[in-house]
Amino acid sequence: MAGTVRKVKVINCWRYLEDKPPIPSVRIKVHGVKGSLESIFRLDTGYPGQLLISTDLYERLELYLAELPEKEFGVYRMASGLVEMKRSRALITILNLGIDMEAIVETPRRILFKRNLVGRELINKLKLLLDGVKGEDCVIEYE
Amino acid sequence: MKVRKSFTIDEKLLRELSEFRWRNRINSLSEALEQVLRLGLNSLKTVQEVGEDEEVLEQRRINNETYVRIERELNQYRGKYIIIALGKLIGVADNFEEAVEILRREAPEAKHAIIKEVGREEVIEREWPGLLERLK
Repeated sequence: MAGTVRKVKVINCWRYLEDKPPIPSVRIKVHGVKGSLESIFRLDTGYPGQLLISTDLYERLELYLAELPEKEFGVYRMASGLVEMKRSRALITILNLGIDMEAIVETPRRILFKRNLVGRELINKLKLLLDGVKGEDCVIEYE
Repeated sequence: MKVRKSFTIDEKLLRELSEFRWRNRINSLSEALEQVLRLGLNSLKTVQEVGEDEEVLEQRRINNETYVRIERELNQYRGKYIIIALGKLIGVADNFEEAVEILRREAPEAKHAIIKEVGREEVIEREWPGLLERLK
């Protein structure tokens, strides 16, 4: 609201991921049926889902052991056509925030994908301050 | 060498192809089609395709057939997690952690499994124009 001063308590900050330009990111541990792996995930407000992970991470975590039915696999419409995703359910720990939650994790079904992204559906559940000038993401609490 | 093939094409797409031909002063529709196909295939070349383990593919097919077959019966487990592995329903759990435990205990040899919260629908189709950039 205009003119309202909101005090914010900064709990914890970490550096943006080095890239050109640097990119806000979080460390997430994904718990598969047979093991857990930790990785850096870029915050991507263009991606509408929860977590999009690399083909390699999906395979290493054997996420096909907790997949959704094929009829619930996602489809993304791009300018040049459709890309089908395979989808799995997994427990995740957002390490920078100390949050455990269940998430839908997806990766393209037939195309090699090399990045790990956090999308809007998950970003919208987090209280994060993006300090682009300092190049830091921070966990905050309103006082 | 050129070969003659016959195929069907969407009417609107054919109109667009024809416009592309006239705009670019291309001699024939076949030549226009060749150019468009070349452009399309070249743009896809930057995207690497992946294959999956044969056993995972086969078990995914079998588990999904089972899911489709018993989907209606699963309504009695609304709010619970069902686990399908090795082509059969192997358990029902109150939460995801318990479902994973059941899978580990009942089907440790499974290469693929479905864990689904009955009644929870996921959004299937979404718009993401920037995905192509991410894939490249």
